[in-house]
Amino acid sequence: MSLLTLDNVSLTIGDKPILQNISFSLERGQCLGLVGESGSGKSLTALSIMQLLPRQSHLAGSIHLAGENLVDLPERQLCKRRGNLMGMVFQEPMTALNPLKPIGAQVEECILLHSAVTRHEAEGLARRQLQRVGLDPDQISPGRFPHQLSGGQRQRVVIAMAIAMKPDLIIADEPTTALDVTSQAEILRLLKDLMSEDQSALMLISHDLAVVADMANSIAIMKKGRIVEQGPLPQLFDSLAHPYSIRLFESSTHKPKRQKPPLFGDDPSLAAVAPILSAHSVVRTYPLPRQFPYLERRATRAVDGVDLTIHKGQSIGLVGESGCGKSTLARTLLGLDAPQEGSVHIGRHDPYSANKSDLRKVRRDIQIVFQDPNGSFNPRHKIGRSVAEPLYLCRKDISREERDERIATSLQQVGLTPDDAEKFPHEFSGGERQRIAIARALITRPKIIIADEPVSALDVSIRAQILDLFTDLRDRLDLSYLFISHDLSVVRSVTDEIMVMYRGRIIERGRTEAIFQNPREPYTRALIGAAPDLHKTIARRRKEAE
Amino acid sequence: MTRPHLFSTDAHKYRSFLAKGMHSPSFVIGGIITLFFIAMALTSFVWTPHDALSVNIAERLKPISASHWLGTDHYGHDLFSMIMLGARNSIAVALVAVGIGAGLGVPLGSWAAAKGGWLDEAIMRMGDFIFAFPAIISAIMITALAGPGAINAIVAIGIFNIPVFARLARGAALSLWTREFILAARLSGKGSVRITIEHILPNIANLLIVQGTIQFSLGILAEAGLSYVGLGTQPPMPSWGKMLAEAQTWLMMAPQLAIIPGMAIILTVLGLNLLGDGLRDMLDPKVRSSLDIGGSKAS
Amino acid sequence: MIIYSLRRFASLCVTLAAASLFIFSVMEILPGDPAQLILGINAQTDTLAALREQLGLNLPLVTRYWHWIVGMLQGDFGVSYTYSVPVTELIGERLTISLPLALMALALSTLIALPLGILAASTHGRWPDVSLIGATQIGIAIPNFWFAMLLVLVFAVTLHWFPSGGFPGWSEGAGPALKALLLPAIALALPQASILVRIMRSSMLEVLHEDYMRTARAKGLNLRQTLARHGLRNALIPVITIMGLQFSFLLAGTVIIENVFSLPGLGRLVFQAINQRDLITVKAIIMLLVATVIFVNFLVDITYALIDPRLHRRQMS
Repeated sequence: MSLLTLDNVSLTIGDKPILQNISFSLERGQCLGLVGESGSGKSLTALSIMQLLPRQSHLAGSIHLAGENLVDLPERQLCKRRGNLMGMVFQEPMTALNPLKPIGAQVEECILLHSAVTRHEAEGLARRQLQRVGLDPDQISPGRFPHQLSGGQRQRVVIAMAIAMKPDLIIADEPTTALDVTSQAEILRLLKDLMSEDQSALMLISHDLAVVADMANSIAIMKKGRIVEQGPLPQLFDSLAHPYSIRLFESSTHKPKRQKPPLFGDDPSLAAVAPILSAHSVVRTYPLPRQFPYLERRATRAVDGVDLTIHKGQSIGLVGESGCGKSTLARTLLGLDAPQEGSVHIGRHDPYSANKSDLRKVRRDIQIVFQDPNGSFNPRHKIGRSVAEPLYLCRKDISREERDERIATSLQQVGLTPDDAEKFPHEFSGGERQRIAIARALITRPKIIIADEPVSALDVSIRAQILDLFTDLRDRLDLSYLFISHDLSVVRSVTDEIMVMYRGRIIERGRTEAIFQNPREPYTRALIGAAPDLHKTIARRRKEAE
Repeated sequence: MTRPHLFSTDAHKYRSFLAKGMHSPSFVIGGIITLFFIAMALTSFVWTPHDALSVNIAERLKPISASHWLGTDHYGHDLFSMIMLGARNSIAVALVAVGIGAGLGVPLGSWAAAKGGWLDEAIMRMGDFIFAFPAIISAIMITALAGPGAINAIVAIGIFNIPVFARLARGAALSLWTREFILAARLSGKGSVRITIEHILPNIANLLIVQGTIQFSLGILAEAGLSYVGLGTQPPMPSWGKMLAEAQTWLMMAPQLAIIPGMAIILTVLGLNLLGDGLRDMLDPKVRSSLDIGGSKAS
Repeated sequence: MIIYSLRRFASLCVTLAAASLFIFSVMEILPGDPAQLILGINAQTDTLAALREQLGLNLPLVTRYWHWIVGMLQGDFGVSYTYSVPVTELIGERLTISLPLALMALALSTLIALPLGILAASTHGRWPDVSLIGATQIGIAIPNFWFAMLLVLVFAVTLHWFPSGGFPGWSEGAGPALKALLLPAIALALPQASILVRIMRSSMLEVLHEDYMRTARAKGLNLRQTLARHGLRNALIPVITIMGLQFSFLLAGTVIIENVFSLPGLGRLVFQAINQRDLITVKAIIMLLVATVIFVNFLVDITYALIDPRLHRRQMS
């Protein structure tokens, strides 16, 4: 008999149907991957199993764990099973821990609750669990508070809590989404090891097919509250039948096609012309707050001596993990944050010393697309007004008619219609909003666009479309890009050259393919090694299966 | 205590605002009560049932009757007329005090948020400093300086309102300044004043309006308190607080003299608070989409 | 933690200094000659001059400010113009009424409000919550001095359970004194409690949505345990801030309520002093009240840091 069986589970919250006829089963010691885009009902499936649903929800069907139907159990009995028979790991390690309690105590609590041990024994057990998840109590004291740990370390604490009682079932809901690639790989490996040690079953929820393909024995693909396809891995990848799963698979490995050949920095044609954007040994420091008046102020170097040159038509990627200084560099290049040392040139002008009219010209040449399509627009303004905002830079030379014309052109260039200018941001989906953000960047007819994590907040299928759009626009308009991302596969698909940034410095740069094939720096190697790659993973799984 | 999630990022909610309001009982009841007292205050300029200021000893301490809807006080003043004039007085004082608070506080707060650095620090420390002077202490100082009067109450309450609005505007504006559409506006060459007017203020207006109704009701309470101890409105102008002070002597013989102005204060404040709550519920997307932590069976 | 406390303490001192400077300057602008006030209209010019000399009124402003500050730090607020006794003595005597009154009100409102707020939050949307919300809505709207009058009308005038005003003094024993302070304390506590219930409730509801509450439930804690072990302390953080801010309203309320019950506390003293233009007393009382507010907020900041480990390192503002 299976450890976990869901039979025709349907969930409604209020009057809204959330899950419909979910059925699957999971064996002891196995891993089930639950894949789907945001809003597909993955997390609520997990919460249904834990029986931690919001108040107004109604659940139909049956959920059997180790022979008991959880749906029928009274709350008191469920409490005895949560944390004991089933543990859960959540997506956001930053908020999943009580900020006011030491981490050791939080792990201890779980042990004390479910076993008859003394406080002292529980303390020892908690230390052992922390040790197991890689937080050596001698180095990282159990007396520390969550805010003193990094995101990856916090996620380890959450895992320690989930596995403390050696539960039969661990549910991990996007356990690595909020983490950097390198921590992601470590956390996944940890989960895998613990699973085999304790013979626990793992239900791994993710939007990332590559992550699931790496870990799971079988997989279920969800869309709009239903499971559209499920089966064992790696066989299922050969027999994908549902159009949605096929699309999901294709988007995950999508690579936009370029019409023109790649353009590299050492191309002889570029030597004669001036670069569009250049930076020379740029240093940007941030003063740390004074500990006490009159004490010396210390500073962090967010950007530490960066040089770069971008020519017309080039697409360059800037890769690095969170906090490495990517976004600070972008702001410095855009002319928003003056560097303490070094210089920035956009065309011939330095945005920090240019006079007003030169600055306006400079700003027309460089535009930006942001990560968050929701925060990119003033919710009170119509799209047309937001898209036309950069035209404030040429307010003296542009008539009303031309302004409207440019709005229409921009919107058409990104695949929208001129009528959309009259709508408000909330009337568009996330992907459409990102198109609008690109339209805004295009309206001044810039030479270069800085794209700061432009697809990180989007679902995979939308992500593929936006990447296509970027590539297509570059071909048509001869744009240059500085493409900033933590996601190597994204950068790989749209850039000719990349720069790897680590602690404020560019540690490696070169042609994209060359670096991916043959990284020189250990950090780059680690980064590339840790990044999930669907094709490679499937190939490996097939080999193992043989 | 008010948190930045209050501003709706949803213009659609903004448009069907009144339609939605009609479904919120707090908004409707609060609105009706508030409008009633405002109407009463306005009417008092052209008409009152009796002359509220003329002493008529023959008519003193009359019970509720057809000619004196709420009876008369110990001087024979018609109580209903006095309540009407009192409404005018209370509302005027509170409104001007909110005006002072918002008029100075919002620009200061927005300025602090836009400039940051030492200016921000200075404005906020100034706010902390003013918070150490509750309205009654300011009123005591002003009265000691210039003698009692309604203006004192206005100034004392108004000054206390400045940091309230400044803090609120600063907090909300600060979280907007980190948003990407503001960054886009900066890249479009717009200065901080223009950005504040075009982007910041429209997006924090909701929040300010809600706070405005709350400060309005607090102002009415504070004015009543100040007038009660003689630091506010001076005779012969009637005010609710002063009516209560005088009623205290007659508490045993005519308790209605104390109860009626008290009810007027309570109703007005209640109305404004309900209105504020209603507005907040309508503007705060979080309230409706509330999902509790689990426990469908916990209760 | 130590650095944080020192920083807060430094800021406390600066604010106190600024407040004293402000109060001093405002009160010194006042027209009117204290010497004239003490000796009356018909005083001789040379006696006036002598008294001015004696009161130190001829000294430059800076020196007088310096003397005032140094005096205060040594507990010397000067001599009252009208009572001719040291202001410290006057205030000290009145504080034995005002201070217990304020503390009683604070204790009452906190003890009532926090449990009720938690009750409302944990029964969110059901009848205890709904009726509490309704009750607090009215509680906030009631002016405390009016509620005080109502209490007098019911419990003193009609039922004769409590005295309607006045204060027997502590020499008669604590019983009668506390009895005389109970009604005023209740009147003060009601609106405070109403606000606190609402703050506690909304803070608790806010905390209920936090991820760590879900984590705690996933560990197997039931709702009550989750609230008690993880919810309460987190929910108290904003409540303490509000309580600090509320304290100044409590002080203001005390000043007013003392007039309803004719309690000879600081509130009565300050009004008498204004009427008699006993400015040195007014100045001292205002300074005392303002200093109390500032000091309470300092305490709040420190409490805050004791509860929240994140503050130990986090920079201020």
